[in-house]
Amino acid sequence: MGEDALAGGASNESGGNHMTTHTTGGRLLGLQGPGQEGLLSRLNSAWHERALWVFMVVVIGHWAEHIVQGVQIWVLSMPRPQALGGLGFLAPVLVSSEAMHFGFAVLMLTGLFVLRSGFSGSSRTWWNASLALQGWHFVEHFVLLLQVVLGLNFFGSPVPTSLLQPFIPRAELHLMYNLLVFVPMVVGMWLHSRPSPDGEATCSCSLPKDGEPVDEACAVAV
Amino acid sequence: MGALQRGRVIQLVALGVIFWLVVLSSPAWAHGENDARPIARDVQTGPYVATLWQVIGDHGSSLSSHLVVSFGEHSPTAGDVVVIEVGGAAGGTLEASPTSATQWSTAATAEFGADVRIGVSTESGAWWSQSTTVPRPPSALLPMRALMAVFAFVSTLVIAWLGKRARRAWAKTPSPAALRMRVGETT
Repeated sequence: MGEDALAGGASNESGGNHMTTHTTGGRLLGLQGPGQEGLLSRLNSAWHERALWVFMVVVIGHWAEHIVQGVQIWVLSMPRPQALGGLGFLAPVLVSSEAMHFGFAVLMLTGLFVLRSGFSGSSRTWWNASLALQGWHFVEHFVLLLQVVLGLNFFGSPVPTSLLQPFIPRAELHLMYNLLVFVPMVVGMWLHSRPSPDGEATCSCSLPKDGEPVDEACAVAV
Repeated sequence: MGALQRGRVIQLVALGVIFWLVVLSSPAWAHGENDARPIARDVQTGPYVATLWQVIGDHGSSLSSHLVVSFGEHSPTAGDVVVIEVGGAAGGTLEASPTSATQWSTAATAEFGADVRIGVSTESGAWWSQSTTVPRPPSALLPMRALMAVFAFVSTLVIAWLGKRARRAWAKTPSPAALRMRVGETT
């Protein structure tokens, strides 16, 4: 019953509860009425916590690959073309294919965009920062893919080159891009997982689950 | 824009991207060279200006380093001869790149400290560039080893936090009514 209620259930504002019940129902749960919710709406209400968790697992897997690549380059002193991360070591095409990089940039951008409306307050600001930075990261990968498709590389380089690569080598540059996207994403998620003091929660991420204590901030939200 | 419309737009964009990737960008799936560094820029060779690149190609199980001369807008043409000299020895004649009108490549390579010269011979004359020394590969400005340790540590914390949240994420969410009841009990 719980999830159905969150996804599309009743918005019971009545009941004489002495708590700030005006924030319940639609605003708390992002409800549109039974049967009216699409996937996007569910992903930002009842399924937000799960969707964020799955998305974060994918993101941290990719981030871990960049860390492994960094260890290969700067700790193990491997030649850069051989420093392909963990999965790239098994299947080099995962690293050398520009289409693969572009595909992941699209996935990241889509995930950040789709899950954005479930955030509010300062967590949303951090999430937006991550989205904006990923937007630029996406442009960089689009430009790289474009060079491969057109057979025309920038800056007279014999290989596809990122826009900021004349200043920072590719491994460092894309490590930095991923760091800049990852950090505000984690901060946003962490803030979002805490009960909002203004009671603006629109999903279940900060609500206490069965067996968890209900604190004051949540009381305001409920 | 309503959530439904937004969802449709996203689906359309995603389909477009997939179509574009699969149909139009098959070369992008190729396993290509992925590391290049400029050895010298603005190398004047007669009327030509070039950038000398060292490219390290990855061929799956092996690496090969070779040199690429990338001319500016004014480039030798197919009938001309471009040669390279590495450490005083002939580095061979360069072949015009099949994919670029301004790039010429050779299988020869050059190590740190070697002197390299580019030669161009055309109908109107022959020229050698000034000798240029292959620079040391660039070193990182930041303490990368320490940074990698910090990144790994912070990432481990995030993974631990995600692990803690995993059970919660799939736990049953109480209904609003049940929550209100619990709030009422605790306050």
